[in-house]
Amino acid sequence: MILSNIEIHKALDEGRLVIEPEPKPRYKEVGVKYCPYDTHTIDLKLGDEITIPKEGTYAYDFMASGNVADLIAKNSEKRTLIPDQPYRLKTGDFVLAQTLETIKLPIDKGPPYLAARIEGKSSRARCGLLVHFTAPTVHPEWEGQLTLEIINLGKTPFLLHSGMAIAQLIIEQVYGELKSNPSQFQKQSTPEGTL
Amino acid sequence: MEEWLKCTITPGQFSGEYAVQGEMFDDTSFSLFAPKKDLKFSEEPTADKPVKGLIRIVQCAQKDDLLLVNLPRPTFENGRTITVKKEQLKKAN
Repeated sequence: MILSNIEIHKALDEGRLVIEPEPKPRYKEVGVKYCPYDTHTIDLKLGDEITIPKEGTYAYDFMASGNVADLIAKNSEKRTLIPDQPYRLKTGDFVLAQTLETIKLPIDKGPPYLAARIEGKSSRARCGLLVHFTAPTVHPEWEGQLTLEIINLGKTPFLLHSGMAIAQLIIEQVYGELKSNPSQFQKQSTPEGTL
Repeated sequence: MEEWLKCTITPGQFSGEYAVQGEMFDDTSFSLFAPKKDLKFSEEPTADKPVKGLIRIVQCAQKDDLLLVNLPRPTFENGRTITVKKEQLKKAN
């Protein structure tokens, strides 16, 4: 079940959903140019840091034992976005970024639990911009900024400004209680892996 | 009392996160990106100087000297829940 804007505001007030800084205003009024809430979505902004994968002779091998996280980090370059100096994302280029906002979906208040899904914005998509292409799910208990997988599939560069509305968040209610999924232990090689 | 798992820490892809490596009960590696609030280390790691540290965990189950624990973020290799040896944990206030 997807939450409406009224239910999103209720969840924010009850602390079942925390967005910091909280997007404001909640409703558009006379003279207000921009409201981050639509009927069932919240706009999220681009943070001020992007990371650019380096070209090289390395290959990612998730089946090999080793420090995958460190390999990925070592082969990427962090860059800070400065106001008025956007990053020019060329056709076909891929970068990672984070939302400006930190999202929290606490489970300590009991059910109903909330999950979320990040989606692109149609206006950006018309220019060929993807802000995620495979990992939209925000799990219950998540706390942190959301990582955006940004790629320019358009025919012309796209300028990424820190603070620009880049994505939208859909909040969903999870039906029932939560229990860790045994499939998460899939690569452990003995029965002890499924204690 | 919080529980912490021994690990090795290097810089992540963003300034607010770190690359974390550790070992599961069968001596195979796990790795993940974790936020600073879930880590403890005495000096800031650099790309060419990893540091030994601790990562926050929640214990889910125990069998003999093995523990099933939840990490703050999913690993690249094996989901968010992994089995480790009890001796790999360190209690900290």
